[in-house]
Amino acid sequence: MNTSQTPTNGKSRGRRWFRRGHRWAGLSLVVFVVYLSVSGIALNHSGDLELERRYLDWPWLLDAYGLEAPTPSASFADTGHRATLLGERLFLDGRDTGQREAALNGIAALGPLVLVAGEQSVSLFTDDGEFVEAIDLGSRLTGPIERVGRSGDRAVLQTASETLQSDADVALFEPWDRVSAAHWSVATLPDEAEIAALKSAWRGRGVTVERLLLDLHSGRIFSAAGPLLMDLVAVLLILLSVSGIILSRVRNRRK
Amino acid sequence: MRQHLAVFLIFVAGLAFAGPAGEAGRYLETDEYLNAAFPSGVPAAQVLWLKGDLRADVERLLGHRFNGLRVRYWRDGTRSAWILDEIGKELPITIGIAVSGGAIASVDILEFRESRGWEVRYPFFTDQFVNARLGPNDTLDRRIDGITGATMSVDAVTRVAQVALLLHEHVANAD
Repeated sequence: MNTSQTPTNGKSRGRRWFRRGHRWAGLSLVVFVVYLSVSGIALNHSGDLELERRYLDWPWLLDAYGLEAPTPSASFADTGHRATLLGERLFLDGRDTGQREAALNGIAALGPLVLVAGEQSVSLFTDDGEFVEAIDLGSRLTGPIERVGRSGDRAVLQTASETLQSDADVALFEPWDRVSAAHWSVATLPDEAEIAALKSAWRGRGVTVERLLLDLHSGRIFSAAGPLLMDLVAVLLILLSVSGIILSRVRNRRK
Repeated sequence: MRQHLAVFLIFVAGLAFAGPAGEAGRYLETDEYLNAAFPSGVPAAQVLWLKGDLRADVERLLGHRFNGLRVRYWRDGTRSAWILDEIGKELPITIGIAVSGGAIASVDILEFRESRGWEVRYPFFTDQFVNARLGPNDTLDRRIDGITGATMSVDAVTRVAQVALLLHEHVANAD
């Protein structure tokens, strides 16, 4: 009697656990199904909703994206112009110049042109901040630029062993020995308000809604573990589908 | 048989761990390039401001806004050399073009910064430009064969070659 009942009880217990597991897996995945469906629909209509043109600049979101602005590593001012280096991005008068520098060693306001010097090169801008030219002086210099100044409307660059002066067009640099006649730029930190404005400019407009949705959809917003979590959700959804088919077939067979 | 298998496995492992034959980097310093372009002595640098029609023509050839208001060049008689940056995919390629009598004398890649497409530095590619001139619509008067996997770098070098010829023509005509 007992021997014929045990397998039946075992089977029904197994089915009960299977059904319970299916139900709990389904309930726990509801949030993800809604989450993936809503973000998927929004991404499908990204163009119509202009999601690639809408920007979010919430500080916590930008921090999550690693867009935490660095503090200025160097800043020089001369005659109403200020050059500041944030990370490797060069800012002139509060605007991102688009130029990258490993170091910032001085500025010289030369009337219509503004010269900003790194270690081996100088960048020229117009008085209103438009980029003119980057001049690679690496092969011309005997060492890295240490000081930048001006003498009249000429730029002056100083390395450990020589001093060079530019011509009027800032096209050529020639050795110069009247070092005491130069007005050297000195590193000064911008004030708090300027630093805040620079950090805001460094972050730019922020992250597009489309980017955020893509990263939410793929799980990348949650760093390296996010895609793995989404993979797990996808595997569970597949298992849920299979278990649903099995349960439905069992029920049909009983009927 | 086992020995052959061992040799084969070592060969495959060698291929897997071997670095690329060439790679991104700085290949030529500016003065090295200029010394090669002007063997009899490097002339003083000059600057050319890009304004009006000239700027429009340059930007038409590049297909985008030119970053900067002026370009630096070196000129000795009918020979000129231009060092220009152009983006291949995401980062600029620094390209030196020497022009002599309205035809390209040499193309050299001074610096390549991206991980793919550095094959444009090799003479089998750059030599195709030698003696090329501007044809109709400021295109090159010859076909430049591409390199599989380096299409964007090939296009960037081709655009810069056209721009250098145009700029050379401009300074030559200004005399």
